[in-house]
Amino acid sequence: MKRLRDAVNGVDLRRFRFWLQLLFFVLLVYGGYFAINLGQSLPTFACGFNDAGRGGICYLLPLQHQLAMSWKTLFGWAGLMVVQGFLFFALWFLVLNKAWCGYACPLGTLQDWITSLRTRLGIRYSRYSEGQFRRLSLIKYLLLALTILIPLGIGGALLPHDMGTPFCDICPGRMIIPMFTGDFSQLTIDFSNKTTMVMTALGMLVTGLFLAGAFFKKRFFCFFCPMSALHYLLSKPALLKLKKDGAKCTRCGDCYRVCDMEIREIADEVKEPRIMQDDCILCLKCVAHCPEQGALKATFAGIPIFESTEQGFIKRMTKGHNDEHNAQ
Amino acid sequence: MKKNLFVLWMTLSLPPGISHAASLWWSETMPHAEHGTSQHSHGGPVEIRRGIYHKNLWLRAGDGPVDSSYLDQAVPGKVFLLDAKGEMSEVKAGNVHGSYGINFAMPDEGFYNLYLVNENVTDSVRNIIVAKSESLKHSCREGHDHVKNLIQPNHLDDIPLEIVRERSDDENFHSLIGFGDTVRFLVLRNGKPQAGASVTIHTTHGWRNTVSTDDSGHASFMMIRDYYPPWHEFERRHRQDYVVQAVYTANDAGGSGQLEYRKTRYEATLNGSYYPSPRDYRSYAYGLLLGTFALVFTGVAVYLYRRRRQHRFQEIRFDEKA
Amino acid sequence: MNTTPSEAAAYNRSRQAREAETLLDRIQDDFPDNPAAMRYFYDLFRRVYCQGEPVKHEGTLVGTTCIHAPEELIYAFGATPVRLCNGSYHYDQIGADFMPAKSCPLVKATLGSLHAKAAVPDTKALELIVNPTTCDQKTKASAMIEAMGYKVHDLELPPAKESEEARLYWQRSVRRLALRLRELTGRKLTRNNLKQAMARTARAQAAFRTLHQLRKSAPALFLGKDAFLVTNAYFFDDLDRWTSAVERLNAELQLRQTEGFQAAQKRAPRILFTGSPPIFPNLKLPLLIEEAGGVVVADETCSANRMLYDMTAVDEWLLNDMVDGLADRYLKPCTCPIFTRNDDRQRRLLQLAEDFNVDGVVYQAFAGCQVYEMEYRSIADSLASREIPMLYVETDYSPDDMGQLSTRIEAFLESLKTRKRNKQ
Repeated sequence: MKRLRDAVNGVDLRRFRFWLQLLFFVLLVYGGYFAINLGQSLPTFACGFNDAGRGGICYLLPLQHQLAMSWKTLFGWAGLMVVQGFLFFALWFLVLNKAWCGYACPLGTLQDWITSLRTRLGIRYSRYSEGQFRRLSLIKYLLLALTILIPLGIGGALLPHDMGTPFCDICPGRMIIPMFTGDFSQLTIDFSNKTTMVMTALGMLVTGLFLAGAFFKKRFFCFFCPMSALHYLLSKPALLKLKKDGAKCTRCGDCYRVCDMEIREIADEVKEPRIMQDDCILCLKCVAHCPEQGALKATFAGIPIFESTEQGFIKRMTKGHNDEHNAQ
Repeated sequence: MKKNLFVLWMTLSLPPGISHAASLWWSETMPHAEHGTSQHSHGGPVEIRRGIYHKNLWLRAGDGPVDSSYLDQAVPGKVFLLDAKGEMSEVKAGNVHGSYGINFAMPDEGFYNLYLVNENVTDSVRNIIVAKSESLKHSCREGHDHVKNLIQPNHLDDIPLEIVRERSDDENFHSLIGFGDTVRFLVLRNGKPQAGASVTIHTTHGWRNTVSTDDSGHASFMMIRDYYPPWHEFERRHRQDYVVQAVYTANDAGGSGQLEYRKTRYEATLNGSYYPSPRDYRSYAYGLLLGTFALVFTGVAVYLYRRRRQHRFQEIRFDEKA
Repeated sequence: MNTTPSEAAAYNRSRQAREAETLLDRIQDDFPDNPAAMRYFYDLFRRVYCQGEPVKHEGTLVGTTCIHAPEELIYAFGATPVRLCNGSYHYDQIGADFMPAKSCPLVKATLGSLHAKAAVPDTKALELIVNPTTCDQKTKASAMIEAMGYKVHDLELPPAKESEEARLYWQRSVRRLALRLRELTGRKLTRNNLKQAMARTARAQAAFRTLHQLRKSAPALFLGKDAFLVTNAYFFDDLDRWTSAVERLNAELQLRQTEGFQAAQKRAPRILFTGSPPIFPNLKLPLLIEEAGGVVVADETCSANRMLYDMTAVDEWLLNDMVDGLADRYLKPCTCPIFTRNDDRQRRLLQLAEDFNVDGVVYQAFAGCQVYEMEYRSIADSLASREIPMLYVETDYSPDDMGQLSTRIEAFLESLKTRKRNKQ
């Protein structure tokens, strides 16, 4: 048992993550070809516009669809359906918590691949300043509110029906993920009316911004992701948890250094054991880069599954020192 | 079961009712827009009652949408529904929102075929008219798992003449026929492909085209673009009706007395909808242009920002007013 | 450097060498069963401190006056760092000319050794001294060292470390140091150079951490006086040679552990040492503790734990990220009392006390080292809240207070023993 635990804690997280992310990517982007269908309440960007290959559908698509029903329907019999959809979403989410972002999300994986391309080219990454960070991290809540309110407005006939899935319109996943199954049809501007024209134009602008942004900034899009905001509302009771033993923390900031989401609390907070912040993607890089025995750990239903250890840290860093190319 | 029921009505062959030289077809367009409400769904307008989709279809007489009228009284002949599960049932037509039509529930995902078979003998010619309508029930809530099976067209082997719209390879529940698309039909006589039948398509604005079925019973048309509104009035979900009419005359003789006939004229109709093609209003060029612009702009902006930031100790700037 | 035999002989008779020799004799002879691998360190100190053998170095020799100077950067430029913090009473007296009467003996001794004619470790070869602006006395020493004819680089350290601004400020300071080193050595900083340097330091840190963990064992396996000698050797010894020696020591200790060896009595009170750093030859206080029957199992000082414990993490092995990562490691975890707050130091002490099953804490404050004197109260309160007894000792490099200290330490250890007995 101890040997197994040591093996897990000494894991080369970078490699483990790469393969697991690849697996999820294939599952969610190409799963349809293998008759895999995980339903339409997935708490991750398994893009529904990827008709042919999707192995499940991102919950935001049906959510917006449902909320755009006429109020009479929505607040009548269909309300139950919305609740049911949300329950399925919550159930999926409760298992993996935000690891959906760090491990499963195809768009997140894609950003990690772009990051890996950048490091291969030897170009340094950008970081936000602290002030920028505080302000930018509010955008996702704003987007979530709009993602919910705009379809509701349509249901109440206050807004044009063409904005039925406002977030999907501007989500770069809609443009990019279907391309992986050879579907380029989303890369268009829809001139059929003003609303669609504006929304599709925004979508393409965001896509360009996404590709460039993800190149310079690790997990660029995740700061703005309304799914991440929706996750955070549910993350307290989730089974997979990130915990910190503040007493063991030296506040060396190694975890903060490696954090793609620039979460300072992971290094500075020493009182609250439930350390997960709203931007966290549970990639567990902080755990892998913590040299203090047991200071950070991931637990599943209360059972520690991955823990920071001195040995694991030294092993991983030695590998980094000796690795010729240090590609991600 | 299906077969028995069908044979039943063939034997009950109808007496001559109103003499109909005009074609008969089903339309899902409401006769009077002020009546009731319908909602858009994948598969045309529906009425939703307690969460169950209901389809309204009205019988129209005449050639094509321009020259057809709605009816205010019953047409002789029985109306049968072949539901998405393949079960046959007789349904009752009547007054629907002021005109003669039918309303039926579509609880299951898939296609519902509605048939009206009308037979009469006029001037020693037996006329058999089969008006068929295919209605799709699809709600995205039901998922998209078995699309490939449910999308396949159904037909009945005992129908004298039937038009089947053939599915395109990549067709799914959300597919729409657009301007410029080629639509293929198969004409079946008693379930077997019929060569040499004359097939005519009528569009909403009166365009028509006639072809003959080939040896395998196929006929195809390319849908024309006949929708030219000003840009601000353009609707990409603008639904237009088309009607396909197949006619085949055979030298079948039979009957007796008043009903004696020398030949038989078989006619089948099938209605459908077509829409503006995304090709007409979607632009890759602008899309890629905007995307590339955003990409390059961001890239250059970050590069310049980094260049600027390389000048050390210039982070602090004083503003007299602030 | 190239000392003639007569000069060396003259040096051997100097007070400094006698001071060192007396101490080494005590460390070696007063205790039975010293680990065989410690021989390397005893010999090293004898050669360098008693016989005046010059410190070996490759490339440019760069002196550092505090743990905040990132040594990996210096190694990456092909230079060798040597830490100048000095523990000699002899140099303390020489350095007294530069500083007010009531000031830190460490700074005075450092100044003294730099000023002395034939100092040990030899300082003549220094081409640059990196002086982090930590406490007031070190900061002010900068100009004095420069006046002695050395080149000095003031490595600007922020007075607070919590804020993001401080972090960025410090990262820039470290980058400026790299520029200065590039100027000095004429070499380029490359990813591979830095990575190799970091790998060497990381190996040393890993070896130190193993040693550190071994000291957790109860009864004690290893004595604090030896531990301080080992970490003090890090100041000037060849990095790889030092690491290998520590790895040998670790292997021997691990063997001793399986054999059930005891370096001290089972009941010996386990002491956590904190405060002003014991630097050879001023190992007076740890030695007194262990001579009196206690055992120093852990420490929180900048001549040992604080210098070697914390390790650098790198996410992307690109030059910029590596340099920034190094900067973070030298600032963020540091528990030096010069910073505005000391909650990190409190937490570190409490955790060490818990992990090492500590019976009591000895807090050394050099007379004149105001920051340690000022933190005394908060540390005392914090330890008291966990009912950990603490002995606060204000002392300096002079041997005059030995008798008085020894009495106080004996009394403290006795009280710890009583406490332990009563608990059982």
